[in-house]
Amino acid sequence: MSYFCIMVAKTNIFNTLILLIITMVGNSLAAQQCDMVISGQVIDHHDDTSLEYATIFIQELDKGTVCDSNGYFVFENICPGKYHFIISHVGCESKNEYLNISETTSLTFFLEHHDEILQHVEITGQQSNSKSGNIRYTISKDILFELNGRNLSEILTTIPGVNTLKAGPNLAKPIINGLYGNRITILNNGIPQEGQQWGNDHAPEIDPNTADKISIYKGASAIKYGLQALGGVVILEPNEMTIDPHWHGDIRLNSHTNGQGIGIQGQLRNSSKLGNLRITLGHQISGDRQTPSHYLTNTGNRESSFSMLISNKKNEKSDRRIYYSFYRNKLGILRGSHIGNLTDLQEAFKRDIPFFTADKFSYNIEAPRQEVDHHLLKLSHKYRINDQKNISLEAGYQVNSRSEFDIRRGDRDTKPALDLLLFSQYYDFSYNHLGEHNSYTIGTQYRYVNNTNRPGTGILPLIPDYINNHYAIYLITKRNLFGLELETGLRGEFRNYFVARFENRNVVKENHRFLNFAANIGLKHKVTDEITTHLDISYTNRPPEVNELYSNGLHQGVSGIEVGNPSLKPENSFKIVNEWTGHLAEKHHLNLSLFYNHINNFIYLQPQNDFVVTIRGAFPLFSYVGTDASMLGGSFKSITDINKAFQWTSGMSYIYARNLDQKTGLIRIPPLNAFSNIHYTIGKTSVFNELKMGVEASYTAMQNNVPIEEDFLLPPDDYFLINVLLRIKFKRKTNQDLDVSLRMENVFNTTYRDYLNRMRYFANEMGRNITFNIKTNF
Amino acid sequence: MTSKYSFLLIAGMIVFFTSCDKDPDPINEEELITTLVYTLTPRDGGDIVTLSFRDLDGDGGNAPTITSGTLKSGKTYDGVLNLLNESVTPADVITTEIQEEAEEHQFFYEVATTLPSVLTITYDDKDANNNPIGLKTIVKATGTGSEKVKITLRHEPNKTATGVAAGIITNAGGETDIEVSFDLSVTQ
Repeated sequence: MSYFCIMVAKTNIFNTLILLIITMVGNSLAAQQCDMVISGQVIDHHDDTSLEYATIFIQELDKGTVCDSNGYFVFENICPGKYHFIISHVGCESKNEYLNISETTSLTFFLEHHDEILQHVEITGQQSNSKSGNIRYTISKDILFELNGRNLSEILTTIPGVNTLKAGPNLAKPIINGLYGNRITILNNGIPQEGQQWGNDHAPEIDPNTADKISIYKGASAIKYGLQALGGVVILEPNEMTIDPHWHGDIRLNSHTNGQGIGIQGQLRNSSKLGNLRITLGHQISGDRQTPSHYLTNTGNRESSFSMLISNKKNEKSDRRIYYSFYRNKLGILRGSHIGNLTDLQEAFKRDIPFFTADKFSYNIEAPRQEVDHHLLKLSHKYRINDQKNISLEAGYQVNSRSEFDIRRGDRDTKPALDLLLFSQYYDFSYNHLGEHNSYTIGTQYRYVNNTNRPGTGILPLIPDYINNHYAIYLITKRNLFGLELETGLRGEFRNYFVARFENRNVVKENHRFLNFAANIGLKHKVTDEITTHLDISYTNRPPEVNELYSNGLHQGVSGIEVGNPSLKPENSFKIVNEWTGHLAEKHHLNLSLFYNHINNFIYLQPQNDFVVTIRGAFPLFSYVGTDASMLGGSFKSITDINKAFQWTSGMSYIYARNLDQKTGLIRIPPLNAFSNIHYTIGKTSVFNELKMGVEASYTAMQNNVPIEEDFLLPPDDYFLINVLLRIKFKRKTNQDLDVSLRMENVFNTTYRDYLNRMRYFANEMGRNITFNIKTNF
Repeated sequence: MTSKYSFLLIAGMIVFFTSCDKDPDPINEEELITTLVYTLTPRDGGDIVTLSFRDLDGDGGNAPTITSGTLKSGKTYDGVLNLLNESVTPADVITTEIQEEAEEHQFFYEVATTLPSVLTITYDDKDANNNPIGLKTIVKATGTGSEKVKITLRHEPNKTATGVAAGIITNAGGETDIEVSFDLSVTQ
């Protein structure tokens, strides 16, 4: 009797969380007869415990079974052949595996169960199975389904410590531990997204539906992704591709009442001689949203996306991938939030209902509006030299086009007021060495960004034309030291900016050079068998971006004249993140995340005392300045399984931020937020595979710690919202789920304003919204 | 072997940009208004009074230059507004653009300070809907004193709202395209 193991889905660390290991017990004598036995176990990938009462279904045989209380299952009298196995469990995204069965076999299936719990996953891209490294929070595809139709930032807010900075219903940027914009990096399939991140009214140009998993990494030690990652990293990625020569995928439809929106998304997967293919498509439309009392005129949007990933067939030596994604969004900005000057602004503040509010619903999108296109092409190749060494090359090419239309005189509404075209290239080349106790990665990067103001706007550009070159080297090491897992990172980056700006209508050329460093040290310690703590200490030296140096002009998004500061110095961030994760009791999980961030020369847009007098009247003047700032905060999330059916989740986050020079608070820091959810889930019946009901309550406090003189209005009052959810995974004949969910947000149609939404100066937030989602896999 | 080739392929796609230079085209700020001139011509002869606001470098930068004026008490003046973009030569006349979109624009003249006022400003033109535009006005100077006159141009105002046709800005709405103030005194 010979025993051998085959790994079917290679445990490709940096993305595979759902993995499958097949242990084959060889018995060649029984191969040709229909008397094979397939047995095995279903295991929770998170804590390696068995998943009781999971179901396994063999599609070709129309045969199913339920695991026992220890997660074990058995199929008897199976003929040799190729079969689709569908593995499902309450609270998990069901998994489809295509396997060639030629012998009596023992299988182990891993499912991702407690997806809301912290995971220990590396983002450095090393080939290793070790669970050490950095911590990230992941939202699985199962939960993503319930959030279908929302934008990326709104989805991310389900993670404690993540907030959104908004400018109306369509524009939202993620805030991680109080930082956003130039201080957050978004990884689109491993490539840092390159757009116009600087604008508070510029949302990330990416469709969450192109990803199967969305995660956040809060520490600053994402050394590989550079100095812009000091606030955190958002990671969008597909599931690991499995080899299956049939077409599989899913189709999702959604509609929402507020805005009368509708959307369709789909995914297709297939393996052929060329390799594994994965395609996603999506289109979403919405009209004017409404508050409890009136329409938010001109807040519709049209969003489309497409992505295609091709990876080579299983190859021991080489892993090659090509990924292309396209994103387009045309979105309206509340008509009444577009103002002429300071007088208009003050006039608009006094209104209960904004100017230009129509009494009819409309799908029309007029000025002010934005039209954004984003293309990304990624090529990657990982070459395995041997078990311990591999080299990896990644290349990313991006084109970002942004046109913003304002209300203008003389039919110029159709002519963009800001029209930017950004082209970027990114190359990363790294060597990874994986030792028994010692691992390291050494890498080098080159980034090129070319930003052009397309002519024809008739307005002097707010940010200048520029070309940036970034050259970086980094070293990441990992070792075990006295029972501690220790990770260190070091990065050096040289940047060269070539800027061509206008001064008195003449072109003036500028050149800036920056040499900056980042370093981090991370420790992981298992306090007890159940509790693990991570400590991450980092130093990041971020040079100012071109917009911080050379913005100049009227920025509608801030209702003021924005002036850059060419003499800005790089900001120095010193950050400590301490995370605790574990089980306090058997049915109780807890995450606790604490951080302290001290930033010397923190660059922000500061309102000046004087106004700028123009022919249009007075405008507030904002200048980029550096100040010393500190932030202290934390978030926690606890999940309690009250019994088999009831689960109680609650959490809270808070940040205390200070401008140390001015001795005030900092502007746009998220206020205290707390939530508590009760979910009731029941498993298989004759009609459905799973039913989930939930009530979710959230409370957002008033932000009291604000620099009053740096804002137009005082922060709005606290608010309390209730959402309810009903989700049923119906059975289909093929045993694939027909997943239906109904979610009602703001159940009591509460009128409120949110501190982090620029729309708060003009209008209330959206009222009640009912979202209907339906999805099926095939 | 093929894997090595694909490595080379990616490496070969690296485009090295030797040019590190950007040469943006000059921008034709066709919409820009640099200059507002309010010319007041007395009906029965006398000195023409010219009020002007000039901001040649546009928003920000150097502060604008503002010239004020003095009217003679008891006289009636015909006021004419002229809007120019003087950043180009010859200067663009923006007034015609306003005239073409008269229904979407209205000027407001607010006279603040002393009571009883020494100035009254009334409209002397009408758009196609018989609503005032404000490019032409009649200014009556009575008594003596000094006033601050604020001229506001609103784009897309609600011309039918209460008081708007009479020149009261309160309910007008719309966006401000111009907002300038002049000192205007009335002497004997």
